[in-house]
Amino acid sequence: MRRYRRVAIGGTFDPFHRGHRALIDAAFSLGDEVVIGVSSDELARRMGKAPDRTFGERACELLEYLESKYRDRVYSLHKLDDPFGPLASDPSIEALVVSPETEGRGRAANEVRRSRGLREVDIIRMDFVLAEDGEPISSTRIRRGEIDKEGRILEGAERGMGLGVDSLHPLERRVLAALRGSGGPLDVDGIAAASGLSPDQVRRAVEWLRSKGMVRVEWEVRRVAVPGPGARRILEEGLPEDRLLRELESSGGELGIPELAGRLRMDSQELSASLGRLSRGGYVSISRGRVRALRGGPYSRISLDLLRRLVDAGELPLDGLSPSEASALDELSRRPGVIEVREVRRARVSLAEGAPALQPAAGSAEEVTQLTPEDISTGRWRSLRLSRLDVVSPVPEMHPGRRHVITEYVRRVREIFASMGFQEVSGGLLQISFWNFDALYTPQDHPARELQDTFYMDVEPTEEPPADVESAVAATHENGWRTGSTGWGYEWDPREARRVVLRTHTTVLSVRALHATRDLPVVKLFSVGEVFRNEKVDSRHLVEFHQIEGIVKSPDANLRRLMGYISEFYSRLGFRDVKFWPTYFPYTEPSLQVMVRVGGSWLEMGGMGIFRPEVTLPLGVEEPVLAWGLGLERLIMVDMGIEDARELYANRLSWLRRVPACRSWTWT
Amino acid sequence: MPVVDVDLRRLASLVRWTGPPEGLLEVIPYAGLDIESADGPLARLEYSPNRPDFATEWGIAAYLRGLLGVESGPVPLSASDSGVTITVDPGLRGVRPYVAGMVARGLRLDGEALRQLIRLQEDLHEGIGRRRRRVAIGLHDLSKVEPPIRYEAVGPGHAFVPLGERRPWTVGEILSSHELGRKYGQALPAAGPYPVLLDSAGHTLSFPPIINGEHTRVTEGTDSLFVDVTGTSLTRVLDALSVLALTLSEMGARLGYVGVRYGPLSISTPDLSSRELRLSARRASSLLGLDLSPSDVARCLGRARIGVREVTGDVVVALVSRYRFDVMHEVDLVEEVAYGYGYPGLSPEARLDPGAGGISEQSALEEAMRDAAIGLGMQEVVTTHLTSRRLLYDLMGRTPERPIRALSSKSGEHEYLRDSLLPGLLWVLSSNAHEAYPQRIFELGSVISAAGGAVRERRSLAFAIAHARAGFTEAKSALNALVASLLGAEPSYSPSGCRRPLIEGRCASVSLGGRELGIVGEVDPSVLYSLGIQVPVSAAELDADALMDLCRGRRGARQG
Repeated sequence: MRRYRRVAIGGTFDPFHRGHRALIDAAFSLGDEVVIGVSSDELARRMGKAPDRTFGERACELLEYLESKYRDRVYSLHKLDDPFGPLASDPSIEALVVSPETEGRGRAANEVRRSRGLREVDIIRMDFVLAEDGEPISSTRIRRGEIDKEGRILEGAERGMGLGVDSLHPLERRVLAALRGSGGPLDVDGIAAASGLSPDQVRRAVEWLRSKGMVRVEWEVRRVAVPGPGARRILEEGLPEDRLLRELESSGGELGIPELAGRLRMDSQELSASLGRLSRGGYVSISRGRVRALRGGPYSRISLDLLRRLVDAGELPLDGLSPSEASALDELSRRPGVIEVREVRRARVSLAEGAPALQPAAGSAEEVTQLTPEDISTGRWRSLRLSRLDVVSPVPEMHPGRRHVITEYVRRVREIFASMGFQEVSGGLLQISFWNFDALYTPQDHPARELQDTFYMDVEPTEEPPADVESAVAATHENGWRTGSTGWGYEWDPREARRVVLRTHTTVLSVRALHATRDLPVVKLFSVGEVFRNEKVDSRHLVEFHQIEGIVKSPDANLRRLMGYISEFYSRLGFRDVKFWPTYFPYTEPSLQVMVRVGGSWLEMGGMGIFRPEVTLPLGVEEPVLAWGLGLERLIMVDMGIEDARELYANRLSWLRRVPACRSWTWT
Repeated sequence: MPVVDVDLRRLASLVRWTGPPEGLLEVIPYAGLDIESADGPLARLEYSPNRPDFATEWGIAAYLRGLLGVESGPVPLSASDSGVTITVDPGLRGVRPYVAGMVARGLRLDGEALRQLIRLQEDLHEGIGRRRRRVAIGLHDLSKVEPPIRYEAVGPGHAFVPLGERRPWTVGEILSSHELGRKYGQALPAAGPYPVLLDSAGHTLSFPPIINGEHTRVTEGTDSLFVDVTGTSLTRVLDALSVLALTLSEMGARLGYVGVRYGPLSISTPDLSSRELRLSARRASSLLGLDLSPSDVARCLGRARIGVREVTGDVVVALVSRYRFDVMHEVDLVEEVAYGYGYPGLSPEARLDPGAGGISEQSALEEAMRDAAIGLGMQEVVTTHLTSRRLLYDLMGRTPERPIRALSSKSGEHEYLRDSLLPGLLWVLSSNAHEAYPQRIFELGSVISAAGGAVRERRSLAFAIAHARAGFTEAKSALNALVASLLGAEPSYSPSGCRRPLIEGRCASVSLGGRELGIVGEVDPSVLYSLGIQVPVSAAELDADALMDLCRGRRGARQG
């Protein structure tokens, strides 16, 4: 009987009842090994169950049974934190034992296995184990106090009419519909005929319905005739009286009794009984051992017809016969072995008062799980009954196409700055040092320009700096040029300015844009892009991350207005408490850092300031320029409560697929 | 950013703060110092590299006394002649030509003061000293020094007992075998000559910028110091010495000038003079968004420990102490005005001025591409531009034509610039092999190639589909749908022109209207196997710049 290597079964087992035992027994009879999954408390709650007992208590009870009965067999218990457990990953599981209640979960598990390229398991569906009252044993009923774990009816338990249509078994629904259709009481066969069920199914359903008080059953006692062993011979050969008359006729109308017996091969008892009936009916006369025919047959057509009906029907109720039929039957019954008369008890089933109404088509309709296109196009749907589904059991997961969290935030940041009147600019990742450092007044021996902080790439210079800007930048570094600055006081090297780097900040884009827009009096630009630092990656440092960059060039630009723009930006992201502290950057003066309040603490989000004249004047820009570079990853981490920056770039599908789209800024 | 550990109790006494010492934590950020951590009276502060005077509690206190109104105007600094001289050997020209010195008497160096002084020294080495190359500092116990002092060029055979050693080492030995020699030796010409400071008794005080001599070691209790600063820039040498002068003076020392003789030329160090810098009150007001009179500006500068010589009309003539060499320009004074005014008093000015803002055309077109891919049920991923040679080439079975490498990456995982998004996508599938299938992912990002010598950066759109029945057909269907939803056109396919990691014979190159778009096909199982991906994968990569061009072309056609 063991057909599988490994058979699975699962449930909450709260409480562990006879039905569960039957499932487990079935699993052990089918498989060499049995894998038993027990829902964790968390999972049970998620599936709408409220287990009375903890996982530990439930598992212990189960284990007690397994150890008492299957100590010498191989089995394993698993705590299920998801609906499928090992079923979703163990390729060696070949079958799953389910009850009608959990069959849906089996199908869902196969969906998952299919999607993972695992072989589907055979689903072995066991019928419900019934309680004394004919209803399935279920945890719910046990918890309601209707039955105990063995299925015994509990005293005083509330049963019956309260259940309603929705809790009826499909067999019950069909029986009720047949009764309603007949308009009166029916017996089991009548119900079977009307419902298309087998008498056995009808008897089962009637028993359940009776126990619920939904049908009345009256026992009727009737006498019926049934054919005996000799009946068939009579139908084949005729009545002995008719055979006797035919023999007489073919012998000239008169024969001696011994001769008759020899020709007809009748025993003497049957012969004398027949001769007695024929003589009493005036068909023959008997004198001195000889029989003479008085008139022809047949002796009793009515008896023969009755017997034929009886054999065909298998039984005839005595109370339905006409008087002549009754006397014929009476006569037949006196012949040995031809018919028997019995008393039978018959259930007359009728609807009880208050039995629930059903859709007229429901009971007789075919029940289907899946509607097909043909069902709809052919109109067959009218006669179908869609089965009630197990809406509680889990279904396969579905994953929508989604943005990455980072680009989602980038989009939001873009919306905010665009709506604040800023135009977006973008630009390349590879930049010559001239734009990335020199134009930002970063001296060529500044530590930030060293190989260990900046990624220099082994490629030829990607472009030439504009000659006029280059000479102005060179002079500014060396002696301050006409900016009024002291300059850095060293000899500027044009080759160093042509080394190609992966941009270390998006400020390089602002500087290029300032040069490109130098003839415009007012410029408001922003960009969001990746920047690169030669770091050792850890929970707070990334090699690549994003900066939110922006500039405002305007004759009346000032530090307090810069604070205003940044406050507005963070407020639109949902951070309403913002404060500014002074700090230092080589290319802005004054310089500020912005802090936002998250919960009880202030977090640094980025830097800003007014570009130094040493930056702007060589670009041909006379007006003050406000500039900022804010962290994007920091913002996301704060907003989403992420501790480790690497998480953002780990691309864990389990996270990306499930992270909720509703976040602090969603409604701001 | 450099950090300094301070004891708030000592700091409070130095600034004559009468409240609880922890109250200083409310003030410190507005001096430009970040509080990295605070634990009771102990705090770790981060300061800007342009303010080495913040490397000790004494330097911080001098500035805070101004901001808190305890004192105003420049920190008073004075020195008398010490009689100590340094004679410079012309042979050091072109090696490490500059030296300056200073004497500090009457110190009581406890352990904490000594520790902070050494931190300041290290900070000056790292920052303005550019890892000792430009400037290096030596601190000596003056009582062990026999002036006058000579700054001399020597050969590799010159020997002395270096700090922390028991036996004499030669200069050559130090450069080749001593830890500090190996670390800082590049600052000196390999073939020599090498600079040393010698006193009249023949003791080697220092072998800059490598190591001091053991003979003049400074210890707790040392009450008089001789300070030497050597370097390649006289300006920076004097800058560094001025910070030490401020700090030692604040520690209570009497400073003494040291005469330095460059042949016939003689200078006296440290330089305790001030620079004049003019500031327009209107400019300060305009840049800060405040309305300040010239006398307001002068008062604010005083609180920031900047002197004011005179106010004439709108112009404030400021006097900047030597140790504030970070003040290079009028705008640096504007910042000092802000410090003196007090940053807590600067409020954001909300101003929603009108402007024609908008996202860039590129972003708009890329959003359309993302929408199309997401509509096909794909999850976006974001991978890094810098990746490993192993993933980019070896695992893909590709031969690099002209890989672009970072010159000194700290990790092989971030060393090569990607020229395709597919390796990254396969890496994502590999790291998610235990997640539910189907997995459909895409990425839109920059790729960079240097084929043919010219570096070209372009945007790329790639997707990968992984599940038990993934194959060419689904990828091609997705690609058709993507292109159709963006451009309303169906691309053409050719069996030639596709490449690894896709399988020859099961991949195609894609084009539209004669323009090459990219490739689509099934990923080679050998690649999947080595990445631990256990389901088939089909993928495509498209030139997003080409898609954007075609999109612009459609718009042009409609408007034309």
